[in-house]
Amino acid sequence: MKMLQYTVKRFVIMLFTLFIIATATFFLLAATPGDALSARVEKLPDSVAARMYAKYGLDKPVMERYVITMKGLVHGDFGESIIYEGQTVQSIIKEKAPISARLGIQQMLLGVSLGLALGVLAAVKKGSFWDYLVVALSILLISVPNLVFALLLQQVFAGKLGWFPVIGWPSNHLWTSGWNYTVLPTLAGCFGYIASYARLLKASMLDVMNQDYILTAESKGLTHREVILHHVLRNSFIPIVTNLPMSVAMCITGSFFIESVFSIPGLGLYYVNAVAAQDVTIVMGETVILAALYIIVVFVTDILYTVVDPRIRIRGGKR
Amino acid sequence: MASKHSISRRSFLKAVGAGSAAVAAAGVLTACGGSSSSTASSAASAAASAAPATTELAAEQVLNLIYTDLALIDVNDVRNSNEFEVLTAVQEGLFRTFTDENGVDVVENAGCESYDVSDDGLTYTFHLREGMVWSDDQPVTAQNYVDSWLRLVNPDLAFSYAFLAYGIVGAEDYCENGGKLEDVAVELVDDLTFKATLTTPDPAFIKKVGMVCFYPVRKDLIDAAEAAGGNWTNDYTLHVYNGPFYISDRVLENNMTLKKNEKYWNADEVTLTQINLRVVDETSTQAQLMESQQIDVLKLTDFEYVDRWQNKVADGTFQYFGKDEPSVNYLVLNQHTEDGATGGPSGVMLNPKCRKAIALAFDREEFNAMFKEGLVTTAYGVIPYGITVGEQEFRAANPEPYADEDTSPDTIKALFEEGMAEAGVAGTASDVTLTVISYGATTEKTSQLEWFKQQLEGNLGVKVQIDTYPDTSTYVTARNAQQYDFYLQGWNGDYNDPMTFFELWVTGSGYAKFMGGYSNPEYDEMIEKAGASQDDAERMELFGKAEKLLLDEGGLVPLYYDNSQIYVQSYVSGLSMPMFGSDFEFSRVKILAH
Repeated sequence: MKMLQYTVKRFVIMLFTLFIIATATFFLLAATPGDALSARVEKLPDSVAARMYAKYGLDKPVMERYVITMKGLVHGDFGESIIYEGQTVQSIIKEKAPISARLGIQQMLLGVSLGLALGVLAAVKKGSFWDYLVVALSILLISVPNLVFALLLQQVFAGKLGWFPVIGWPSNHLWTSGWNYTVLPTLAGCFGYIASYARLLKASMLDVMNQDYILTAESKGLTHREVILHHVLRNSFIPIVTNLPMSVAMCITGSFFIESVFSIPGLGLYYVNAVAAQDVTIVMGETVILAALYIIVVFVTDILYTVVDPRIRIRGGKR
Repeated sequence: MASKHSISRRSFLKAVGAGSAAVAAAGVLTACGGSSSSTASSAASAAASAAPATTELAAEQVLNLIYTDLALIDVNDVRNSNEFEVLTAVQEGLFRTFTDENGVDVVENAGCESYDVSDDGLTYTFHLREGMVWSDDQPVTAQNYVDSWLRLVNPDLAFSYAFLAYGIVGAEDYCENGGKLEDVAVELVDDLTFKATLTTPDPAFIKKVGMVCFYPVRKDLIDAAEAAGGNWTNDYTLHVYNGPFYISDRVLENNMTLKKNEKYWNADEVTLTQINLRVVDETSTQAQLMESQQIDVLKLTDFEYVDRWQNKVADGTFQYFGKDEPSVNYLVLNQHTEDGATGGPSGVMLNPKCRKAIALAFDREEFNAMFKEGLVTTAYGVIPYGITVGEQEFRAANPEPYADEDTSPDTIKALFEEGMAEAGVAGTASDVTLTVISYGATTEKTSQLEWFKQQLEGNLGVKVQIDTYPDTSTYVTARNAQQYDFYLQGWNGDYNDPMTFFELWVTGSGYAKFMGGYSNPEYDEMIEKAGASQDDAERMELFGKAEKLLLDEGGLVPLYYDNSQIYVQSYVSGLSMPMFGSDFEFSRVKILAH
């Protein structure tokens, strides 16, 4: 019962958050100087320019546009793109999200597994050469922007050596074909995961290793290996498990730089271009949809906490 | 095609200039049919190096290019060069523009077999080619053209290029002032013939109607798409094609594939089977693709690669084309007097002598070398190279007015102070402060502004105040409130006639706010006369006089004419690069064995 009450409350808060996000996005976009048409109509006769504004409803006062936009949102109608007539947020997400998702998931799987392995290594061999190597590597990987890695990989492995295509993305069999296209973008985008998950797991493991129950386990006569596998790892996975859903959510939003360098038709590149072009309807729609996704993920994460860590439970009146 | 290895940029530009003058003066160039006209574009001629060693064709006739995605594929609504490029390849209008081996525009009859002009120059009758079909096997009819031209001026659709049709009786009235569609004088004669009637003779009319926005449309399909809730403007699957290629695939903001249209009337002349267009934003990636032969043509935007690629031109890997664009970049001088304006904060801008002194205070060669790698053409006149009156190039007949002016600091300072006295401004040049406005403080813009300041302060002795606005909207507000003395502006011509530029400075022009509001009844009269005259020699003379007058009064400060740096793989032949409309014409491209 408590759980149900909690869920309903969270749901209402979620809707309210979405409303705030949509409103803030709308007014921020409205407050930005210029609009999607200003560059296009700069050199047109005034009468033609006025008609163009009327065509897209941009001649209406801000509050009126706000009401129209919010009404549309409630009905799931985000409106048409101003830049690409006839394109809707739904059609764009349907076309672009799977592409960003495949790239993102490949990056994440590779990056997270390598990162976790390095994290375990650093924690277990604390203070050794390996530990310092992992720390140094993490700092390097997290401080160099992935744009640099992308360009570097492209120049060496595609340009000089010619092992992989310079740009491109498989256009059919979206999930299974054209692996050679995906190698470089996957590599370029996985470094961030490696660095952050290695550090996260290492810190978490060291924390757990200092706990009393580990001492108890060791004093029971378990081998170091058994202690690490059965006690340390399970308990140090709490921050990992709570971070993972957010990483998964980030996957479908895509990466502007990597998609731009390798000419991948993903959502990240499109979203940034839409913001730059002030394609208000598309930016509004994508922001609301992605915000909804994040909020759901946060909700799921909260539930996950209770699954992985029995110490966290919802108790009546105590939240 | 002389091979000129390791030619320096400066001497290259000179060679180009001389070449174009010679071509135009010789009056060469006439091509097929009654309609052919030609442009002595100074493009390319000197540049192509290392003529391909072989003429044997490659097994795969596929051309790879980069592009920016099209906002739409509606011919009437065409706006940007990328749309011109694709729509010219997949659709066809009355004429098609190629360039010859000297890079000179050659306009050939395409959809139209011939046309007649009435003796008064007012009525144009177009006779279409027989047997042309759309890709759904329907014939291309005169009705398709009539539908298109009437749709172009439909006020509800607000198309950017509608104004090009305003010469037609009733068109402007219908589009701007609530006139009736029935009064627009575009008429169907029979299946293959239609005619249009103008209000006054327009010698440039034929050059205008060759443009993409006048291409035929299939009204039945537009109506059907609309009825079905489809999106004709943007959805390529709802379109049919009558050009050399058709759109076979498209991924939004990523790529587009064009394939050969076997139903095209001149398909025998089309060798390419496919054109792949890709969006690649990063210039370093573009370079990577070009160097590894994964793209075949590149319009260079990042001058960083110029030196390296000129070496590749020298060793025969690339062909290089420095193509003139119909574009002039200039400083706008504030001469607005309407609504109580008094020509900018300095108080001297309404005086022609002051303005001319300012115009002569800049070292244009230095600007070119410092900011454009010496690659653009410095401008001492208003009309760029390559623009023609009838068949003759304007620049060949009219030397640039500022080319031989005395620009020594003493002379121009004296001129400026003479102007100050006339304008009733006390003191010397050093008492005058000119305000320049700009927006978005990029390094390049900032250093250009500093350069303007340094030139004016050094050569003329005036003070310069730089006002940089954070964004375009605050900048436009300041501009419209006349809070400036000058600013930098570029303008592209829309059709091949000097009128595309000269009409901008006519009193009351819709573009006056971008031109500084120059106004002189004598100039207006010359332009009006040139606009209505059917005699090319007379027009040439009038335009020449108008340019002289405009610059003698310092109506603007021309700085440079743009040009594009185009690199092409050595195995690509037959690529045309017309000056107007599409940057490239692909239909006669051949890929040589390599």
